[in-house]
Amino acid sequence: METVAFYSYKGGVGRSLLLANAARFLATLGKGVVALDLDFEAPGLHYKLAGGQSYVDGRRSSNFPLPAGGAVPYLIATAEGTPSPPPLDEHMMSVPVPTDAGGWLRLMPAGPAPHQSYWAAFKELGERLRLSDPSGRGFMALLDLQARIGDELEPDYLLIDARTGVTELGGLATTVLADAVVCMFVGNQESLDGTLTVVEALKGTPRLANQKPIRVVPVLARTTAKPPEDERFAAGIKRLLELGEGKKGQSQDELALFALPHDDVLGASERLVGGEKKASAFSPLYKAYLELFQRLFPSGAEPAGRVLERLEAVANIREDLTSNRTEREEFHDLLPPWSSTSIEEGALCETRYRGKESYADSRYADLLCRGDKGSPLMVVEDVGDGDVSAALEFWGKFKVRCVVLLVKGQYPGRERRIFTRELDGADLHPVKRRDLPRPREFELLRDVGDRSVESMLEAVRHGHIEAVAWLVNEWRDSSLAVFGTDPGPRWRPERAQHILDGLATTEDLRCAEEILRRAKPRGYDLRHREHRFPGEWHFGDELEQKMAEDLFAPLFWRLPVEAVLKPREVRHYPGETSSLAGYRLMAEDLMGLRYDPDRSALEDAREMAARLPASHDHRDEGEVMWLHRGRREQIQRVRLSDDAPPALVWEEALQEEPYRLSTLEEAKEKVGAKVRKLLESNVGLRRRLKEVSGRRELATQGFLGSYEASGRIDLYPQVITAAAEVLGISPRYLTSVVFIHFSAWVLARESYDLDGQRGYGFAPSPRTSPFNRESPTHVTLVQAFTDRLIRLLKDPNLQAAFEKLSKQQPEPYTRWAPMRKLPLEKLRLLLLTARASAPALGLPGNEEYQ
Amino acid sequence: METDALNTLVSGAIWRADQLETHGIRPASQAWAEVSSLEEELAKALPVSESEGRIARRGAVRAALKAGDYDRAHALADGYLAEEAGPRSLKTALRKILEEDAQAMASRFPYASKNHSLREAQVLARRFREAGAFGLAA
Repeated sequence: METVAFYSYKGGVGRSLLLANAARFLATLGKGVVALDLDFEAPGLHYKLAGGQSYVDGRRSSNFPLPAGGAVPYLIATAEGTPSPPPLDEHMMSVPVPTDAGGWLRLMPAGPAPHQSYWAAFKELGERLRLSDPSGRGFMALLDLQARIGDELEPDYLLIDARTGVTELGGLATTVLADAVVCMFVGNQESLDGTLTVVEALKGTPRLANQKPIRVVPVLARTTAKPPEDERFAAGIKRLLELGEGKKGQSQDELALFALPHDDVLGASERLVGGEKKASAFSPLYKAYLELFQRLFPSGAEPAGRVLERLEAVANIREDLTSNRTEREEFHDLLPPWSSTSIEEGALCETRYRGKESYADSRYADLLCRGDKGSPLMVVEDVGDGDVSAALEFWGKFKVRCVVLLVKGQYPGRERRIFTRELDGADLHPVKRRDLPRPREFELLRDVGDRSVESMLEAVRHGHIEAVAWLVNEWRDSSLAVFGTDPGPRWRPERAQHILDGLATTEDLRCAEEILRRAKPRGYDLRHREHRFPGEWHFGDELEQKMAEDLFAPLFWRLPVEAVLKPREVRHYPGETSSLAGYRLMAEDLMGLRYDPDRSALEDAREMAARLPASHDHRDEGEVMWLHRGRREQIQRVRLSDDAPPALVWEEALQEEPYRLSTLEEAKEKVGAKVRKLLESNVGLRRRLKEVSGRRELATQGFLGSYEASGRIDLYPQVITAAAEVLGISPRYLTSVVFIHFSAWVLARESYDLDGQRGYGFAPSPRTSPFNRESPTHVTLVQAFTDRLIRLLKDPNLQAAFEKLSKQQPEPYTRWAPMRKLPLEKLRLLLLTARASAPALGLPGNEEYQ
Repeated sequence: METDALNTLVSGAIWRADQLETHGIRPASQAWAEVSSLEEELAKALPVSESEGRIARRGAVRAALKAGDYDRAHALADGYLAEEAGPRSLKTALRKILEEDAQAMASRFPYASKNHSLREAQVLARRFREAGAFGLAA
């Protein structure tokens, strides 16, 4: 039996709490422990260890039985010696210990303090137990108690709570009874000086014949900040360390003082954490306790080290699970961490199977993470250097979807091994990911370990918007070839293309919007760049440009038009890329023109402002006003319209009055109701479109949408959907084809050539009528560029939709096929010629602006 | 002082101490201390070769033990044991007195006495008495 006394020169340093924690900790390690309260003047160890029973009206108020006896009554009975001392059991109590390691903890409290009977007994003891009695009986009485505990109970440790200050009993407990003394003090000179005096005295005290030299372990308690750094204090600490024991400092040759940090939670609640298995108990104070226990109890040093490692590992995991991470930020900002309430600590998990080979088994999980409905999704178990396969065998039966095993590897700390299974899958399999799955991932992915591109694309196809960020991030990483970042992203163009193609097939509009938002330049967070490429993000602008050109622009054309048309963020300064990348892909890469809506808007504004009267006092103001009006995004000029398509209106009007030519508005007024009825009748509309397509008159302009010289584009989804059904293609892709077609019109007109000229003449007739159609040359060119763009996008669905549609269209719409043979330069030249010659040929121009 | 007078005083003191002890009166130890002092005086007056001198020596040690003054008892015994003229029987008797007393005390502290000698406890008690807790008053 080793006797350790806990002493402090001044009170209030957490001495009894440390003792109680040490006792419980040792008991959980399988040790037999007796805690003895010799702080007779202010006894309280039973409050710490026995759960704080109190006395009400002279009666104990507690669920936990406190013996009527204790050290004081026992010593009264034995102070003068007796051949038949009272049974120890009458003066001790068992303290329950949550352990199956075979340890136990018994407490000999001072007595039933603070009941009056205790103080009466204490007074009597003062008269009987005279330590200075020359007969040595006082000493013998205490030595007899200590020896009896050792003989009868055979504990591994006797822990004594010694009286604060310089008292007879405190002196005796520390100098005579103890093999080791923990001397606690706080970080001030008064406490240090007193402690130093006592420690020096302790070291100089003669020992009994069969006792080893006393060990003294000074402990600085309740540190909230750095202790004083003046010379006197530092010299005192140095002297303490010379006299006593410390822990290894930063330098292996140096000893450092054990310091217990102040802990509001544990300290205030006087909570016992010694032997606690739950990671939430793992506070800095508990960590410091364990480090101290390692030194203090050599036989428990190894288990304490294991506990320390285990709790540290589990606490780290717990923190990781419940906190927001910075890694993969763009993905994880959408995936909330686990809530504290969803994590159960120290869960005993059971598996039962009643069949031919029935079994029942249980295993302890350090952390059990539950989903919203309470079902277990993930377990974390610290296996240490234990049997991983046994753990896997059990968790395989437990049917949890993710198992995180913390394994002791060849390096300090724990190695994470993550195993997952598919939803309803049979076997756990190891996965490469090292970050811990978030709760939402269990909904997103069938197998949280499978974060392959295919798996994430599948999630997006199921409407899981969170996977978008991950995919965009992966696209970016796969598209980059960055040197100097190790481990950095690898250049994997095939993978990037696979991601792009996968994203482009997204049907879910929310996901499609999110894809564009994430792919958009400036969606790339500066913080993220700094994190991933510390000190090397000077290439951010190029990266943004690359994203705009290679990711955003293709997706702009390939994703559902409804998602593309959602209002985008307002540009903050001219030239800011934003959604212009899509238009620029067609204008600059194909048409060889410069699309600059800001410049166009400025020119238009100047033109408009110039028309204001010369006497206008606020000419500048007018210019700015027009500029702002003109700077509306082209994308905002595109709308999905429920209006009646002009071609259908004219058809109906001409059927009724074949020889009367009126305006479109007049015709709408006349036959509008009939056309609307036709639009509402899916069958009728399809029949009509079948007729039209049979005649090869399904012109894009007029039937599927319309484009005005002002830049406004109307798409008619009802007609497009019906036409898609007639043609046997997806309405989504047909809408995109129509959108691309009209966008080509806009760009051919609005973009600048090298001379800084826009193609004013490149526009359909402002007065749409059956006899006033757009130029066949223009249609041919627009279709040719539509074809070129679709081929550039390499989207088979768009290609199929475009080709099938054009087969049902009038001649100018089909001439793209022979135009394919032309080199792009030649096509560009034709476009420039058409733009320049259009007004001269008397084709519709920009007269509405004149 | 005359040995007769001392003998008279010793007899009275022994009777008084016995009475006090019989009636359980606490200051009996002081009475036994008086007995021990008187016996010591007698031992000084009587040579060890005389039987009365040997009786006085044994009485001084026994009374000191009864007074609880173990330091004194041991000091007296050490002194008498060192007397060259002292017969072997006296030395044996003195040792026996001390041993019996130690055994009697040990029987009252059965657990402690397995590991520690009473003498050690007495030494510590003396040091404690002289230097206070932790020996800080020394």
